[in-house]
Amino acid sequence: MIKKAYRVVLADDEVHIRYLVRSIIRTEGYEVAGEANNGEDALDLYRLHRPDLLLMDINLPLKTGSEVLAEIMQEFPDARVVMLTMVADVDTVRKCIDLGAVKYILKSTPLDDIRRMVREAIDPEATKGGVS
Amino acid sequence: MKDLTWDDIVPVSGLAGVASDRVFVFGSQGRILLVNQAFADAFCKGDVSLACGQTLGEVLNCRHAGVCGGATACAGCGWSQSADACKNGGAGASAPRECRILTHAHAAFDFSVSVLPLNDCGCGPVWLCGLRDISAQKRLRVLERAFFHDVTNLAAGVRGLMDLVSDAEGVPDKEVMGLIRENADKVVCEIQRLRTLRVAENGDLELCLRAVSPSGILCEAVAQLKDEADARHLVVTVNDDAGDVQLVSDHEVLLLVVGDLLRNAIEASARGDRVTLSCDVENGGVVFRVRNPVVLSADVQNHVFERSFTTRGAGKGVGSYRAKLLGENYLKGRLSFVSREQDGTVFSLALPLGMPSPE
Repeated sequence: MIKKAYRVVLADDEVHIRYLVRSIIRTEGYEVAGEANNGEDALDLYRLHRPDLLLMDINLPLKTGSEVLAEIMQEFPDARVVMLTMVADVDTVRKCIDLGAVKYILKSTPLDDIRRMVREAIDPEATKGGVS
Repeated sequence: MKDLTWDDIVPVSGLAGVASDRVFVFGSQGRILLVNQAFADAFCKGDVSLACGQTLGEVLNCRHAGVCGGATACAGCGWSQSADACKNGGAGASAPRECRILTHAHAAFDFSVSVLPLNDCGCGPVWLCGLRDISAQKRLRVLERAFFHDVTNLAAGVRGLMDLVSDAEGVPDKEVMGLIRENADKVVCEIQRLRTLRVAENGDLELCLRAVSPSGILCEAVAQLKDEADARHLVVTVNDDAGDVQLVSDHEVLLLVVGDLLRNAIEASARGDRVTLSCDVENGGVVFRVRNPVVLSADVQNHVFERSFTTRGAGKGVGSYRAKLLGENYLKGRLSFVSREQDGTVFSLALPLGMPSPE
């Protein structure tokens, strides 16, 4: 069976977080379709590439992650978006889940767990029944 | 009705420490009948009779004093809620509530308010209210949230990058090692910034004076915040009209102040805006200016230098407060701002060329 080459867009204003997430995406065999360091560019990149997954920080400049999420879900109801957050701000996270984010990942999560969560988010069928 | 005195109140309330807390007694219309000395010292220039007959809002010069308890904003006022709850009785009515009162003079009071009924003092229905100043706690809460957020973010990044290095085979990638170093430096920097603020607030900050290049300070500040400016596609320009002039100051503290002003300007700006830094020799001193095109709202302008005030969301931002504290109390300068349609917002830090000798 040919493995689908999933494409991911990532958005975070921190250089080191983009490096981390980019490394994770590539080691999983996915393609980084684009990177943004602010919310407006994240939205543009999503519209341009229509990726399989958007990994996006909640606290982005110019347009917050939750604002971008709301616009994407309105335009692309099937979009798969995972929110990245540093502090588990319960209200903001709940708002993002309500808006349609598939899950959120704390940036302080150990690397292996982030890998697993990205795999689950990008292809929930393939990871069903797997060890988590 | 006879005049109320503390001799009537203390035996009834059984309150220990009434003399040391800010306490007053009020009647059914919310008007003050009696205050203790600590209350008078704090709000009435020491005169215990000044407050009698007024509402708490009137005494504190609250923005809503004219209708104390009746304005829309009063619904969220801890004092108003406490008074109403206690008058109406019910479980938890006397539980302390937080209260923030903004005054016409643009000051802010943060209190914990407790109200108790005084049923047996022979003066009709009256209530005892204690005000505890919690402004220091609230400021500390804001500071801690910002600090822990930023430091955890950086430290988590270092850990994640170290995991990558551990997982990789062969010689570690130079880029990842550079990011680890950069983040570790930022962690140290954040801790030092917090320490500087805390020590400065205690009045114990010792300056390390030496010749400082104003244009060098501007360039360092811009370099430190390059990523933040890039993320907003800002154009950051430096106009250095101070030439080779040097001033005697504390390099690290001055850089912290200019950095705080620049960070605020960047975060207030919209995509593609121009942020301009400049330094000029004026009136025998050096004036640093940081300008961005966004005009601050009147409400924001009124609270810019308050420590617990931020436009950046809960848990963020003490930059303007820190810049004011360090720039004026330690660097002996003057920090001010103008914000209007034709100029945008310009923060100016005027410093003497040489630090005055200690008194």
